[in-house]
This record gives sequence, C-alpha cells and structure tokens, in this order.
Amino acid sequence: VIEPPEKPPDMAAAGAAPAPAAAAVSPAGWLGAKTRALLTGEEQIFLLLSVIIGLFSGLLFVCFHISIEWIRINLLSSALAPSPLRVILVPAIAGLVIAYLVMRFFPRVRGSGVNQTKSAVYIYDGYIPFSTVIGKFITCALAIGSGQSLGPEDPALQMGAGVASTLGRRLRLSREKLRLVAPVGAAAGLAAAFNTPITAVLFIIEEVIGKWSAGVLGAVVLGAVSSVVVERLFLGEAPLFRVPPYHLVHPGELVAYAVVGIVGGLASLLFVKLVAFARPRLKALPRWTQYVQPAAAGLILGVIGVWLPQVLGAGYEVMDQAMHDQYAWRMLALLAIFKILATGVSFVSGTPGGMFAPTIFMGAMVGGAVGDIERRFFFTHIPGVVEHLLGAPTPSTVGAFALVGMGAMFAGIMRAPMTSVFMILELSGNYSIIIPVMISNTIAYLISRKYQPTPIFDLLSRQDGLDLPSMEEEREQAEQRVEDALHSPGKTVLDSEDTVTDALKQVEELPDQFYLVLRDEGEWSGISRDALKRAASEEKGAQRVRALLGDTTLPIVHPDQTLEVALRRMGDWPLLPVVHRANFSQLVGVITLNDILKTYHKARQRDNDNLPG
Amino acid sequence: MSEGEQACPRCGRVIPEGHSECPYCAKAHSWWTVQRETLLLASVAVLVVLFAITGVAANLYHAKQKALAQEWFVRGEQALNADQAEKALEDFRTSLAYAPGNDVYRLRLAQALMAAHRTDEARSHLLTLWREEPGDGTVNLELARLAVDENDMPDALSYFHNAIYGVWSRNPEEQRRQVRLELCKFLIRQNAKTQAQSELIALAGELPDIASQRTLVAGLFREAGDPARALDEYRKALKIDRRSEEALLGAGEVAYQTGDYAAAVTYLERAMGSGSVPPRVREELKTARLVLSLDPYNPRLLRAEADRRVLSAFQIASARLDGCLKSRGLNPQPPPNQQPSALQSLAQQERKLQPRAHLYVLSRNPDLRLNFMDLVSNVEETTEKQCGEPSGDDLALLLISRLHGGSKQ
Repeated sequence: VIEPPEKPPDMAAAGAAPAPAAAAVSPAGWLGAKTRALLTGEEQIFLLLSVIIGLFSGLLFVCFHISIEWIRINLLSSALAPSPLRVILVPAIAGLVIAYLVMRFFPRVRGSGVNQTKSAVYIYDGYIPFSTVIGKFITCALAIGSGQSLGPEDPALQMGAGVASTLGRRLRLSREKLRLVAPVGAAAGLAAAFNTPITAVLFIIEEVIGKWSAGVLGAVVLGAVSSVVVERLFLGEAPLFRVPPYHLVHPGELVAYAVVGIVGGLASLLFVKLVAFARPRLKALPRWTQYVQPAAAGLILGVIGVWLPQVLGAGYEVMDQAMHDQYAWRMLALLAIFKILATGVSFVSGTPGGMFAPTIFMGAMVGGAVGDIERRFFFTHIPGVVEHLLGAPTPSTVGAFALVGMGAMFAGIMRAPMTSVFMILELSGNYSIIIPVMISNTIAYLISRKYQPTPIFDLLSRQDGLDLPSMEEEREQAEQRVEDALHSPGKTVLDSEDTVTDALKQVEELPDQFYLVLRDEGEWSGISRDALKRAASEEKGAQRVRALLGDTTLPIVHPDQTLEVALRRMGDWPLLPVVHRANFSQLVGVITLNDILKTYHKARQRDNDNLPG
Repeated sequence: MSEGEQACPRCGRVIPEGHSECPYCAKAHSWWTVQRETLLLASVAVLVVLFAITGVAANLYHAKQKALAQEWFVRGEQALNADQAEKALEDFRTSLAYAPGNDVYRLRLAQALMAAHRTDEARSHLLTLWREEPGDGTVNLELARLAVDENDMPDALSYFHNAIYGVWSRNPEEQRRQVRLELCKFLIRQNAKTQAQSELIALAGELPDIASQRTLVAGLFREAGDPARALDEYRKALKIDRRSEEALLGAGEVAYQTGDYAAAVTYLERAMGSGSVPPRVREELKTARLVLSLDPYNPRLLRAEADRRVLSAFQIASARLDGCLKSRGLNPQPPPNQQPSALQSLAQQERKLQPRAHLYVLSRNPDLRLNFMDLVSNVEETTEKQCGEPSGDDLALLLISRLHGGSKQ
C-alpha cells in the first residue's frame, strides 16, 4: 500500500517554522497545501482516479462508437440492407486486414476482452499495455463496422481497463491498487457501452472481481457513473432499445416465460458448445491460417448476410424491431439460429469483438419467437384482456418475451445470474418484469450449468492455457467451516480453581499435551502438561491452575466460521476452543491445526472424486 | 519471504536488511508526490482537450446521422408517391435507424406499412407513437384507420374520438372536421345510422360557410337516413352558393324523395338550368311535374279543377288496369263459381264507378272523390306489384297515392 508522504513539503516547512509563520501562509499556499493533502491520500487518489478513468473511458467509447458507425457507413453503405456484393466482400477483406493487424502488431487484442481483463488482474498485476487499447479500438471498430457478428461492449470493457491500467501505472499506484484499478476501468467501459451503470458494476463484481468490498465498490460505481454521464452527454439519453411496457395479466403467462427459459438455455448451450468445439480446432491449425481465418469467417458471414442482413454487426436496431413486433416467429427463429452460427464463426476465427450484443440479440430473437408462437396459438386472449383492464391499447406481449429472452440467454451464456436479472430491469426500467425474468433466467442458467459445467469465459481461458479463477466455481465451492473440522474436547478442559496436583492427576492418562482452562466467564486459556509438571517440581502443587495462566487468553472460534479464520487465529497455539456464539463459556469442541489440514485434505479428495471423467 | 523480511508496500519488492524503506521507491520518493500531482493535473488537461475533440466528432457524427436520416426519408417519400410501398418502408426504416426518436419518420413508416398491408408492424409503430403522445391526432387517426381495416368497431370509435379531440399541429379545426367526416362515413358503411346521424349533427354544427362542405354533409345525412336534415343542409349550401349544381341536384332529389314535389321541381329545374344533369334526374323532374299537375289533393285548387283531376286520375288508372289485365291474360269478368283475382275485383269496382264518372255527379256528391281516389290508389299499388314498375302518369299517381296515405286517405 502506498504510504502517504510523512509530511508534504510545505507542511514540513511550516512545521520547522514558528507558529506565527504558519499563520502567515498565503491563501494560495494554503490551497496548495490542501490540494496536495487531498492528492496524496491513497484512498482519495483512488476515488479521484476512478472518476478520471470513468471520464476517459466514456470519451473513448464515444469515439469507438462513432468509429464503428463511420466504418459501417463507408464500407457497407448507409442502407440497412447493403448490396450483396458489399455484404460478401467487405467482411472478408476487412477480416484480412484485421488478421494482419492482430498477428503483426496487436496480438493481445484477440478475444472478447473479459478474459484478457481478468488475466491482467490475476496474472499481470493489473498490467494492460496502452498498445492493447489502441489495437482493440482499431481492430474491433473495423470488425464490427464491417459487419462481423460481434459487439462493442466487451472491447469497451477491455479498453476501459487498459486506460485505467495506464493511468494507474503512470501514477505509480501500488501493485494492489493497480490490480483494482483495471476492474474500475472495465466497469466504466462496459457501463458506457451498454448505457447501464448498474449492470456494468454487477458484471464486474460478479465476473471479474468476484467479491464485494466497500472500497472497490465505491471506485467501480464512480467509474461507471462518470463514463455513462460522458456517454449520454455526447450520444444522447436515448436507451439502446425502446422497451415496450409490460404487465403480467394472467399467471398462465409465467408458464410461457418458463418456456423462454428452457429454449434460451438450450440455445445458449448450442452456442457455447459450438465455440467449445470449433475454437481449439481452429487454433490448432497452422499459424499461417490465422491470417485467413477472420476473412473466411467474414465470407461465411457475407453469404448469410445477403439473405439475412440483420445478423451483421451488433444488431441493436434489429433487437428493437423484434421487440416491437416487426417479425413473425419464423423470421425470429431463423435470425436466432443464424446469429448463433454467425457469432460462433466470427468469434472462433479470432476476430476481436464482444459477445454481449450477440448474446442479447440471440435472446431477443429466441424470446420473441417463443412469445409470438405462444401469442398466436395459446394466449390469444392476453392483449385483449390487457386492453380491457387498462382501458388503453397495449402492444403485443412479444416485446416482453424478447426482453426476457435477452436475460435468459445472457444467464445461459455468460453465467452471471445476478447481472442478467438486473440488466433486464435496468434496460426496461420496469420492475414488474422481474418475476418472468427471474423464472426464465434461473431455468436457462440451470440448464446451461447442467449440460455445460464450465462457463464460457473459464472455457476460453483454459483453452488459452490460463488458469484464471472461475467466479462461478468460487461461488459454488462449499466453504470449509470449523464445524467440519472440530473434535470433541473430551477431558482436555481443566478447571482454573483446581490445584496443580489435581490437574496433573486428571491429565495423567491423557495423550494430549495441552489443555483448555475456562478462567472467567467466556475467557479461555490453555496450559501445557510441561507447565503443570514444572510447577509441581517447583513445589507449587497446591497452587491453583489460575495462578499459572498469566494474562494471556486463547483466541476463540465459532462453529460456523471458516477454517481460514481458524487458521489465522491459530497462530502458535496447539488448539483453539470452539465456543457457542450465544454463550462463550459453552465449549462446542476444539480444533487443532491437524484437524484443519485433515479437513482440507478430505475436501480435496472429494473434489477430485467429483471431477468429470 | 523469510521471517524478518519486509515487503515494500508500494512495489512489493523485499526491503533489504538495514533499510527502513524500499531503496527503489525511496529514490523516486522526493519527486514522486510532485509527479503524481502533475500527472493528475495533466490528466485533467488531457481530458479537457479530449472533451473538445470528442465534442467536435460527436457533432459531426450527429450531423451526419441527421443528414442520412433526412436523405432516406426523402427517398421513402418519393417511393411512396410512386406507389412503391415496399421500397418506401425500407427507406423509412433506414431513416428511422438514423433518427430513432423522430416521430414524423416513424409515422411515415407506419403509413408505408399500412400501404403495404403489413398491419401488425404498422400497429406496433403507431402504438409506440401513441404511448409517447396519446393525444396526438394523426396517430389516433391512423390507429382508427387500422381498426377500420380490421372492422374493429369499438377500437375505431375510440381512436376516431381520440383523434377528434386530440392535438393537431396544423389547422386543427379542419383536421378534426375531416376526422369526424371519416368517422361518419365509417359509421354509415357499418350501417350504424343512428350513431352516424349524431356525429353528423355535431359535424354540421362545426361546419364553416362553405357550400361544398355543407353539400357533402347533406349527402351523408341522406345516406344516414335523415333526408330532412339533408335538405336543410342543402338549403344552407344554396344560401351560400345559389348556383351550386351539386346542392341543387341534392336538394331536388331529397325533396323528390320526401314528397316535396314542388320544391323538387324548383331545385331540379334550377339544376338543369345550371348544367347537364343525369337522365335519372330528368325523369324525376318529369315525374315531379306530373305529380304536381295530377295531384287532386292540392289545397290551392278550385273545387272544379280538383274534380277534374280526380276523374282524370280515374281514367288513367282504368287504362292501367285494362292494360295489366290484358298483359296477364285475364278477363275482367271472372268465370262463374270462381273467386275473382285482385285485378278482377278492381275491374269490377271500376265498372261500378264508371257510370258515375262525371263532373256534375262529383259536384253533387263530393264524397265520391274519395271512392275514386281510393280505387286509383289500389289500382296503382296492385298493378305495380303484378305488372311491374309504372311510369309517366301512373307513376305520378302512385306517388300521389303514397304521399297522401294511399287508399286510407
């Protein structure tokens, strides 16, 4: 941790000078001193830096967004459905350029950016070179602008982290803070790209940092909010989608939303399995093929795009259209299938770009298709009922299904369940939708977990030979607690009022060398057999045990506390008393270092037994 | 790290023995604080510059988006004017992608979708607009038209009324009148004539003094089954423009239909004088003139003239009855032991009255007029049913009979 300087220079001078001289400091000098004091406090610096990072990330994303649009208009034309020749040629040629840039200049920009940010945090002490930011900006703008089926969110996340890392290094932050500053930038980048600060904060906490702590949360929130403010300042307040209003009219609808969860879960499985299957095989091909893989992906995408131009690019307009009933279920289903294929192809080819937008695109199509089918064939009465109840016309429920589908697919692919729920709430601004979202997201998440135990980000990092911490595994891992390791205290407890001679008699037959002594209400001490023998040999056999204890008390632990807590408290003590939380005098058991090690060993064996294969 | 060694909290390196602080970091310590302040200030300066650059870029970007939106909108308008609804809606959709918040573009897209018969999509866009501006007249009108297309009477009525009482940016009074006019036409098509009449009464109360509009509303009153108000509106139209051919014709026809043959003759003669009229109207004028010339019930007639007209009517009806009997191959006298047909009964009555068909008989016995006219009425009604539509004098007599309550008079 960076220690603040012992005294700022002027304060040191002031300290050397007599008191009246200090009072004579000019207002400018006083202000300077205050500013320095502010700028040299580690926590203050970190929070201030979070805001600066947020502002930089916001600006960077605005430029990134403009660049993507500029490239799209100039390469593919301003039409929503460009000419077939362009659709076939542009992604392929852009793919060649991207591959060259990645292979020759920016090898670190491959992939979505989430794992790369995690690598920076967990492996490289928060180090992300600024060249990665530049490379990510150029290659992703070119890829998304030329129609590759990828999104701008994950690259924005990595660029934000890169900016934060650069600033952190320039400010010579400590290693610990450097590790923390990258997620702050990542949250800022994601918040700007998605225009949803809460979702960004949650995603970073849930998927990158993996734990909540007040210090980090404050910085992450500040960064995310600053970047969103900048993004809205330049790109406008309009949300990504115009979300139709939603009202749950009939409980039967929830069954329909459960079906969205099932279909969303299966569709997410299809996508993850496609990536899991194809990516390592493509990576295993000779190195020269990596120069043509993005171009080949572009060509495949172009062929699909001639027929279904909606699958090109991030596809926010198409999601908006799907939410407003502009496609029938057949078209929605086709778009879902081909978006899975197109995104899979784009992603496994090594083209840099994100998975957020394609994921929610697929979800919107899947949800919309299910919603349209259910509306047409099962719940034809619903819109009429809504109109009757509200006395006003309502849109069809397809929009709500599309929205719920986004969450389901996000939960299934990204495996960030909390983020997936809050994302939909934040996008829709409607808390009535929480029940359908929770139902479908949970189902999709469980299906995905059941049939694809390794989440996609962990899968990608393992394919890349990295062992990044899996946030899901950490969340799911059963914690080892004191109650799992403690053993019965037996006769190892002595009474502090016993004499040394009596105490020695009590422990004569026992194998233990150290005994607990309850000295006062809830206060435990310990004494060794050697100490008792020594006292007896010094003719202090008639003395009370209490007299030998001194002031030292034993640390205590409770049964529900983790073994990590017990380990920390153990220190050099041979055992610790495990006491009841409501009555510290009530001994539940004792725990030794050996107990702890045995329990960890058993847990490891259990984990090994549970490993697939 | 072995016991006793301490790691530098800043760089993480082990602090060598004999050093109280990290020698690597201590070197930079004196300038480090200054450096940090400078860097933070420099960051702020860079931010200011970047804000300015991004601001310029964002302005250029928004201007480009706006220009593209406008360009595609113009293309859409051209395509729509050329009846290429499919192309137009793609163009409008593109323009909307560049200006998602533009309600005019969205409305035109919805209209293009309606023109392309893609009602579900059109409704979705219109509902989006409706949610943003529930009182917008144009949006409500388009939603009403959608409901009309789908024969959804309650929705159509609701949206039409929303449109009538809604907000219109340009010429609101005229727009509201046009909407009510459209609603009236819809109600008449739906045969909801009572509702149509009430809407038309409201519309008539709002009309400006423009003959064509009064004439139009009068025509709708006629269609809604309210000829009296129709005639009233035609008259108001004629007060504004005495030579309005349409109003004259309409007034003449309504007067003819309501049995005001004197007015009908007046209006139709004026209509003929101001331009060409359809043959049907000429026939109506002719018939109306005959009605006026044959009608014995006219209170202004002298008694002798009235008697003369009664006898004339009797002779015309007798001739019609003879002709009808012949055309159906019937003998005026039914065979013995056989019930006479309706025509034969009338012929028997006619034979009974024939000897009394003299002016002096009628002048002595005025009650006979009713007997004669009852027979005339019965003959014309029965022959119309059995021998087809009458024409000329017979038609005039039939109309006179109906005007005065037939044989019950």
